[in-house]
Amino acid sequence: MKIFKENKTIDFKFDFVSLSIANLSFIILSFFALNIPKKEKGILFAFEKKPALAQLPYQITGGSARGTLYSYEKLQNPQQEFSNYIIFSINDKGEFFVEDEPVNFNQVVDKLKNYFVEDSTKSIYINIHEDASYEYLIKAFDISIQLFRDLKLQPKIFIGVIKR
Amino acid sequence: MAIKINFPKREIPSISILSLANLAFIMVVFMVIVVKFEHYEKSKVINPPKLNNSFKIPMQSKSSTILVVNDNEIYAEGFKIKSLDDLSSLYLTKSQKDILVLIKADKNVKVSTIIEIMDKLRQIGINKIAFITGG
Repeated sequence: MKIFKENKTIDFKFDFVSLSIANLSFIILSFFALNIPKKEKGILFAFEKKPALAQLPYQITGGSARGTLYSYEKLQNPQQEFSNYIIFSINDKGEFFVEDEPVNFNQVVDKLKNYFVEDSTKSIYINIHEDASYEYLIKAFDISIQLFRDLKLQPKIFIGVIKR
Repeated sequence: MAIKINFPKREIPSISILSLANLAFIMVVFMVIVVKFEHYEKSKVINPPKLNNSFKIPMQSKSSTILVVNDNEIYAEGFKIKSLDDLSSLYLTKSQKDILVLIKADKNVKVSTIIEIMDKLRQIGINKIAFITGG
């Protein structure tokens, strides 16, 4: 008499139906959550493929920072290609100059404002030394954007890099 | 005379691999998190400069972040860049040219490094570049 007759092999089965909705939802949500782009803050440069002005390499159209970013290799003779701008310089030590005059960081906005009161069509030319830290470039942006905001003017910012 | 005993039919033993599949999925999720976390760890050592007048950068589906830890340590798409020419091979495909490239750099990085990266991206044909700031 055989009481236990059944096959003793163990059957591995994949039961899709029993895959719980909760588990599936968790996995899907996890993937979605991972792919949600983090909202970042900063400055956006959207360059136009065809520059508005033939001699200018490209336009910045991000936020309030509208102007032209100057290409690194085309910085030898910036004066030839721009006019009606205020030179806002930063040397490698992080010292600020407005039109070659040394200015304290806290006074830069006021100093620049004086020039814009005279002529609101002016633009700012940020001339920064290549060895200066990136922090100063951002500071220069910050000041320039603040200035244009205060005066409710359309910002026009150029960047130049002083080579050694 | 034989006595007929009706034993209850025994179920065939089976092990559902459902939990195995779940485990595999969870492992995949975990791996993705770890990779992202590693990327995050690299970005954590970066101390970007603060900008009071910053803007929320409108994110788009195709975006890539370049991490500039210092002048000699640059990461793009999770890979360490040996020379800026490596950016060409990363972004040169046509589909990659519409990408928004976010530059997250440490505040102590030299301006020349940032401008060189921007110029390289421009040479490739990337028109959307953003600086990520701390503010």
